Amino acid sequence: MQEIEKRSHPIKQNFLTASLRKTFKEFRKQSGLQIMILIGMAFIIFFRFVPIYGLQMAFKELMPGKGIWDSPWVGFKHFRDFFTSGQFATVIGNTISLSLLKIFIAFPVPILFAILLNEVSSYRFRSIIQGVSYLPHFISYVVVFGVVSSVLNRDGGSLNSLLLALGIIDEPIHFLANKPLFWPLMVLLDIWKETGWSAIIYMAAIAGVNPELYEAAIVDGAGRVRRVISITLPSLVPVIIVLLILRVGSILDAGFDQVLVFRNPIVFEKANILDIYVMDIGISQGRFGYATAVGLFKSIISFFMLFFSNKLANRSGNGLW
Amino acid sequence: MMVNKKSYRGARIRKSMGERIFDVFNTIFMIYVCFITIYPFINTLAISFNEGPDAMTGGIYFYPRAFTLKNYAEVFADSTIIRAYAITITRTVIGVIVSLLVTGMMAYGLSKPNIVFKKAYMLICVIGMIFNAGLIPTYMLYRDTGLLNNFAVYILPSAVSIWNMILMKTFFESLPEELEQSAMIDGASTFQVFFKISIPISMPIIATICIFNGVYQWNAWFDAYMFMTRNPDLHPVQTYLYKVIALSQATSTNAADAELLERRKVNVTTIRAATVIITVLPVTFIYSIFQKHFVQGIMVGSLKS
Repeated sequence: MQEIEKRSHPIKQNFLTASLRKTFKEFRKQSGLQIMILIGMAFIIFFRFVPIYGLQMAFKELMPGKGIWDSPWVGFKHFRDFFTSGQFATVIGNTISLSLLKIFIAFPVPILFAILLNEVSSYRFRSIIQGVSYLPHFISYVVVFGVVSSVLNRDGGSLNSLLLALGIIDEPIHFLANKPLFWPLMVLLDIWKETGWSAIIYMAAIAGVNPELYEAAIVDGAGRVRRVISITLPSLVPVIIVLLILRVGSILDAGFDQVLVFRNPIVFEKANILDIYVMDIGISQGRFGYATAVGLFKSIISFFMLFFSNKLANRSGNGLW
Repeated sequence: MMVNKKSYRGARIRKSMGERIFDVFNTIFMIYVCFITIYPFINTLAISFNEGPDAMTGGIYFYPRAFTLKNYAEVFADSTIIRAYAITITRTVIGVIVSLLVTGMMAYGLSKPNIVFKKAYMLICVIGMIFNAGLIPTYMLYRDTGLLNNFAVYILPSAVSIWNMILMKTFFESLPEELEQSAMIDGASTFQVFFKISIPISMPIIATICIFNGVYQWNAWFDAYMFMTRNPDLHPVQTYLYKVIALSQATSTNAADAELLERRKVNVTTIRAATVIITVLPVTFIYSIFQKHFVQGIMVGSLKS
């Protein structure tokens, strides 16, 4: 027994070192490629993984003289402060309301647009519409504000001019600084900017449908509406579900840069969403620990939302993983 | 009657009345969609060529009423926007090149089948794509490493886009191996093969990635707004425009000196319009020229995913 053990040990070790040596040899043989990969990996690790060490700020009270590492632990104090603060209900309420509005109203629009676009029979006309509809995706929300404000401005904006000229309103409406109109405006702008772009994936899915299905339906006397309902829509369902999972998973993302550009003191109360709150509290007021805790809270909720919505989708066999 | 036999619509010769009406309404609807997409740009263009006080009275839709070049003259009289423009162009050029190099090399390496640790690399990439530490930890990292108020903050964080890397990797995997192998036999190094053989035959994906990165860099304003607070000389034109907007947004707050602000706002509207046009012109110009490539590249990207 002992002898066998004694013998087996060096062999095992030899085998380990041999495979290590083999790996090392392989590595050296492809060193050029490995260098190429490692340069990129260094960037990923530095910008994606190193910031994780900063998450400990969520459980610490950051002292001015000391670094993140040396500051004292305070446990869940920042989380408790957030949950009991008067801001909690407002911020979460704003974020989820705006997000849900976007999911219910803006999410279906590209689907409809793709279906209608597919019914346009002229190829040329269709590609012109597509080209035009992508354009807003390629400009930033700063520019969107710039162009949209020419239309919606109170003083001389063309929508107000038109409504006044038609006698629909007596006084110009301040569309851009109007508390009840803020959320609808955000949803409409989301539709304006992203519909064409988001429709691409649905167009691709429709293009993948076997044309024989349509021919058979026509032979059976199915009209256009019937074909859309019975063939086009079902073929879109898997894509719709995957995109809906992703959208619901990011329910706490209500559109950071959009709101940041369009907010002003008048609509401030409606514009105070989670991301804006984290930025204001953290960067402007310098409460790094508290803001990190709020951000971490958001990340954790988002993760679970994604996880559970995927579970739900799995029941119908359309989950992401 | 012109009927395209290849499309399923061609299977029938005549359309019913209801379908013709549908076609008409659908066409009108699509024209309407195009109109509301384009109109804000046309309107802004018209206002940017109009005199300030006149624009305030409204009623300008498609063309300027009181034509002037004063707004553009005023915008360009301020040297800030010219410098901001130079910053935008610099960051776009450097950003696209750096990102293409770093991301491309990484994708190339990972596209080879027998790479040691390939699975580990890919796992790290996927986790890195899903996980985000948040704004404050990122801010602290930049602060502690001297990236704050440093031009490198425009370039380095976006040097590797994991998503683009996966797109490029998929493309490289589809390339024929024979060409590279024969070059290897002739004694070319990995880097030589990559730059002299693989890159020239990968132009479609490189063009797509260039467009994505270029648009990203041209549009980026938040990084400068957040991480370049002490160094406004290095602000790109989008951040400059954001500051112009924030200024005009703030005017509606103070009722005390409302009159003064009202007077200043007269020109803010038209000058802002001129600034917007200057900012957006290159993007729309390039977009309309390369629209075909845009759409093709996008299709490649969305089909691969």
